[in-house]
Amino acid sequence: MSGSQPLHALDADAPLAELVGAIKRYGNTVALDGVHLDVRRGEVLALLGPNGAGKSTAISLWLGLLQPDAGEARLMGLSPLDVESRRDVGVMMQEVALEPLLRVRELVDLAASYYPDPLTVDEALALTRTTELGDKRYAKLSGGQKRQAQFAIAVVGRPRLLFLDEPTVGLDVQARETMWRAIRDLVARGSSVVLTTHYLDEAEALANRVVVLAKGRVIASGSVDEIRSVVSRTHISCASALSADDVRRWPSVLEASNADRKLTITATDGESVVRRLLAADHELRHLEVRPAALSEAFTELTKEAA
Amino acid sequence: MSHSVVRQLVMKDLRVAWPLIFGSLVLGVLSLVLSPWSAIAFFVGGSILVVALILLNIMLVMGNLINERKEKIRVFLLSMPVSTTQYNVAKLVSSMIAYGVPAVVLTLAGVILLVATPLPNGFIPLFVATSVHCFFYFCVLLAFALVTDNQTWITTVVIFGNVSVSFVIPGLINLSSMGPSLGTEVVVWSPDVVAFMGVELVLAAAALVISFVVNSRQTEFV
Repeated sequence: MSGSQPLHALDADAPLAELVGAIKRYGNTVALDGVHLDVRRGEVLALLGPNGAGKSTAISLWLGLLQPDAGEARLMGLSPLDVESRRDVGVMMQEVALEPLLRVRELVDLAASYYPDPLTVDEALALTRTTELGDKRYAKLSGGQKRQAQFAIAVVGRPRLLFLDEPTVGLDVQARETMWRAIRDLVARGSSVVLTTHYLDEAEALANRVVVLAKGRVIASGSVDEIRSVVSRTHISCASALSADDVRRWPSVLEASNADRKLTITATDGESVVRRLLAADHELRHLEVRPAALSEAFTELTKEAA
Repeated sequence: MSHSVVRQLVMKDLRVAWPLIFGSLVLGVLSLVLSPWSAIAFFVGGSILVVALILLNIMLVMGNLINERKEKIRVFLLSMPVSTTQYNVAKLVSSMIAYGVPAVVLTLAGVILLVATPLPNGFIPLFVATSVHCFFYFCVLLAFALVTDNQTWITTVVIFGNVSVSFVIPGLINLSSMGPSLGTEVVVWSPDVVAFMGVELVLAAAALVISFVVNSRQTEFV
């Protein structure tokens, strides 16, 4: 790929951001160890990993805030040090302070002035459902409101690629769901999103693709379902007169327990267990079957990596 | 380099620094108003004026550069379509305006005060040279703050800068080419004083150029 292609000249299939064999060390600590990673158009890519896995380092390399010791980082087909590469990019970072004396509207307006074709301040506030924060001074906002204001700043440049680093930390449930809706709106408008989060339900709810990092390496990559399938485990619950002790002896059952007439089972082959339950108890009611959560796969994967 | 981005960054910095600029102007004007009343008032007023310039210098550099880096405002700005050159130029320009405007206004006001009141005009070279020294101190602190977050370096520059004023003013007064004319109506721009100011201005410019070059080569910001 040429080092000076503007976004419109990129192939439709070309990744918006890439790490190619990226290595980054801090002293003796290897933060990223030969990572290959790309962000494709229209996707929400969730970068997951325990603390120190290298997620924030990866984002810093993409944004040109750090330089790889080896390998390469590209943003919009350009070197991230080239300011042109950031014209179509919005960023919401962790632990960033903004000018406390300025009002949210002023901060959004200021951010808009750095972009070639920004939204109006009102559009950005409406898109992120933060219109009521517009006239408040940044210093007067709660932690969650500050995150919402940062989100409005991140989207004001009409980004084709949005980096969201732990975007919903400190948000209440309602504000979190509101932000999720806004992220889905942005994706529907054609934006791509790189999301880092410790809330695995957030990745489950938003991501098309998940990359799990541990100790600076990519240890798993795929859709949420593909990552979940790493853990072949199904959770079954029902109201049944069957004894948990009996069920525990069935093939593929890992765990079974009774509480308040509710039978809870964890099995590796959920379908065969459900068939056997229905055959064994004709009075069985309130049957619920759910696959392993992303969090279980994440725990399993990171445990193996450790 | 987009001048629009630099202008926006400068305006943002000035907006934030405005209370400091205003405060230093108020303090400086009060010191000048106080000065003509008596010899002691003249001494106290002059001291307050120097303190106002030093406070403006330190608080401006701390707020505009050091705290901004500490709170990751710089990282946030550089993650947007803002280049390091635009950021550095904006910091230099906004700091120069925020310090320079009050300093020039107060220096001119001081000169006018000396000319327009019975205070001896012979103090004008000392007053201007002291103001130039405060500007030199500001430029050196700004140069260090542009390239390092290291608290030890910054503190060292602040201590040396503050102490330097206590040596520079008596040193200038004791110059044989300046001392005798201080209490008179004769304004003597001796070669010593002109050379002192010239050397300080050249060193200030050199410090800023070096720091700008060093800072522009930086590629790691986290």
